[in-house]
Amino acid sequence: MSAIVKEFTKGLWSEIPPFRLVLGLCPILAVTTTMENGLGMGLSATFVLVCSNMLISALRNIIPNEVRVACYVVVIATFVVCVEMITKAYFFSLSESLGLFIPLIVVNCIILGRAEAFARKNGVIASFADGLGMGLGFTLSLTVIGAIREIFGAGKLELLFGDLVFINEPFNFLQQAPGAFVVLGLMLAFMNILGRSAN
Amino acid sequence: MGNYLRMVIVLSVITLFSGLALGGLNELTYERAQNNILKFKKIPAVATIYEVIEGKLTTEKRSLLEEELLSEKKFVDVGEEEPVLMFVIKKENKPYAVTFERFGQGFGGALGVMVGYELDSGKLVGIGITTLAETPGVGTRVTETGFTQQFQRMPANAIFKVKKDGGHIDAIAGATVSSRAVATAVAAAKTFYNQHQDTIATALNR
Repeated sequence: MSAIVKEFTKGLWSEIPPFRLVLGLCPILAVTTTMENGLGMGLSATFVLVCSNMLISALRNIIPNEVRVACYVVVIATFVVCVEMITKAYFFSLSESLGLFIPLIVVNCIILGRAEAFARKNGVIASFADGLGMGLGFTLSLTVIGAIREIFGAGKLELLFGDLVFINEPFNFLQQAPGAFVVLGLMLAFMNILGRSAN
Repeated sequence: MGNYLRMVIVLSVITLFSGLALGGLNELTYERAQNNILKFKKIPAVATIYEVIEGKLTTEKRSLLEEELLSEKKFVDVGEEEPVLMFVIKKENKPYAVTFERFGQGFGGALGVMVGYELDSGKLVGIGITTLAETPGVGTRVTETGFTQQFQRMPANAIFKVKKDGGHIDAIAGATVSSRAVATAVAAAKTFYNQHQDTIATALNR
């Protein structure tokens, strides 16, 4: 049991994807202009990651080694298209604001990375815990970066406070891609300081 | 040999299941997704064309108009595979313009453009972009007013090609393919309207 908990919690702190593994930066830079987008993207990726991790782990003894990556890509792409169809039918505004970045989850390196590094060597339950932990870590990071960029870049936080304006002349730079790099860099530095003082 | 066979079988079976699952899910969500596209993409595009005629609307009036358009959508059979969805824009309670959607090939697949024509003169009123899968921040800029408004009230003899191809459309820098897709869709709409003008007029009870 404690092993499962460990697999789950490592994704939330010691191996949190964007800050520790520094993987999956494309969606982080592109879609985190608002907290809502960050959360939506994170949850979509989490769904794909958990499902693909479990299925790949369940099939790990059947899939021949030589074609494993092709099989993983088919499995991952299937779940991504599922997410795309579901958001288009039930969360249309989210699918509009995330646009092409939902199909691009297929090539998110965290997902293929976890399939290759974890799910193909471990059982279904451990893979579920790993996928959920990594996914929630990813979601958390995207939401925080999105919230910071929205508060300081657009002056509001629509998801929590509606049209309430915090800052009248926001720092627009943070809404653009270079601003995303700056926020990510500051977050990385902050995480490193925290990590060092914890040791 | 046995090993090769196993690879082929495993990959084929996985792909087969994937296809079945996606086909099933598509069946379940297709109608809802199409409704969303109608409500949040096509109707607002028609409302944009309406604004070319009547001037900018307030948010309230716009949503009233959108409801009205939704309830008065028409399917006109012009002898194509499926009837074409059309919307009528009224001026002083009389049908004034008709809008319908045509497609061009963009960078990321089909790009939909709603095109409006004046019923009396057959003149192009304006366009509104409906669905697209272009590169965010590059190709998606064809939805900006700066690009779409050049189509408003364009003369009948205008050539709907980007300037690079010898036409009259100012393409967006860095998004030639997407701009070309819009121009193609409008050119297709022109051909379509010229060809079916009478059928459309009859179908709209004029």
